[in-house]
Amino acid sequence: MNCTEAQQNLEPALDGVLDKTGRQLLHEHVSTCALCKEKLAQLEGVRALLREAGPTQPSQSLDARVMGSFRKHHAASSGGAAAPSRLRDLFLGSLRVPVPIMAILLLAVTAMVFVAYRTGKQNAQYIVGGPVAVVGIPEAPPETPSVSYTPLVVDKTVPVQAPSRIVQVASRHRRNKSSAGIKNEVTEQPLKSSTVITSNSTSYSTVAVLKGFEPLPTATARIIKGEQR
Amino acid sequence: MTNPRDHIRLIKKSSHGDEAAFSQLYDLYRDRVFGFALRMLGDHETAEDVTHEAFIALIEHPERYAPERGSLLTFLCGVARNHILLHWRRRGYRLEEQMADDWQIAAPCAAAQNPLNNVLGREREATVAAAVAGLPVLQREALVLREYQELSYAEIASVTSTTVDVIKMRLSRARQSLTSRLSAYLNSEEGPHELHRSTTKSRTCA
Repeated sequence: MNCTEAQQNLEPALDGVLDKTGRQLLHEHVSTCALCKEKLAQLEGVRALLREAGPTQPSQSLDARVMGSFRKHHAASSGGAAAPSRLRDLFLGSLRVPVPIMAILLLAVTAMVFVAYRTGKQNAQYIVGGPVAVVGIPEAPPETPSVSYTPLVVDKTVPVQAPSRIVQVASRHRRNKSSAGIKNEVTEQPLKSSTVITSNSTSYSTVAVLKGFEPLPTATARIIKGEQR
Repeated sequence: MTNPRDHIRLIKKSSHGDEAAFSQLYDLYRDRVFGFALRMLGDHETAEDVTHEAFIALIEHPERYAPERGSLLTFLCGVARNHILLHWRRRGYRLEEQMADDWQIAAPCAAAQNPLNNVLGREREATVAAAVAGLPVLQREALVLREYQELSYAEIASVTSTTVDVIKMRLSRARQSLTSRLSAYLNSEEGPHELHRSTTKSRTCA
């Protein structure tokens, strides 16, 4: 080992990271080389001076601060964990439902509520804006064959009070023929199944049918006017 | 109690609020972490703040300590180092420029002013502390972690987020510098008086 190699190994030897062979070679070189021996002595001297320094100790206030931080942290974390537990006990009591199952149940309930809301809204739209079906077309009365009729036209709409129950309602419009002329009347009656409103000798009727379970207080029905020629 | 398994067990217990377990860890490492901070900062109060922060990290985030990456002392010194660097950045220092002119060594100044304490050993100790304080920061931290904390090269590299080769280089330069500054003590038993005059000439002990 020459001086360059020896001086490269001085600090590793001092720090205890030089292997056994390296230490032996270094020892042999240092025992014969005054320069390397002096450098090793200087490094050891510096270490001795550094380690002469007494131990450093913090004040007791640091102990109090650190332990205080420890207690504060764990007091806060234990208090935070207790709140959800109390809430859970309030709603579920002793029942313990796994979180994934609870989440699925909540999603299912939410979906059901949404579907019910959408269905109700669609029915309401049907009632408000849906067509008013005309189920009866007036025909010419058989006893007055000489009278002919022009095609029916809608001349006005009238408000019709809708029922509050889930029923089908027919608004019947009757035209009474009298000596004073033709008079329109609006009547309402529950629509029975298979009800067919036909004309009779004195009147012609049309029927508007409202369907749904959530009707508005009022709806409109068209009155069809038949003009006699 | 230097077994990493014991440390992990104590950390786990302290994370569940076991004060005795945490106190055991604190007693083990308090002086070493504080010694590192004090020798880096030179200010007792700030060093205590830094030590406090290091242990707060252990209290609040024990999961950040990874035994496979180093000892618990390495972890605590790493946290302390981050706070030391933060302290210097707040004061506008750059790492390579921060020198001993800003280092306040309370004990050496008191020793120099008080004749009763002006004995040879204390004077030498003060001079050595001043010489260490005069090293550039990166060399100083490598030297302090090696000579006072007795960390290995790999552990120092872990604390300072660098490589072992870089640590070897910084240590070598620090030792060369100290050999030069403390040559009077290394060559002669009576040298400290002359050395002390030369090192304290540019320093103020206000």
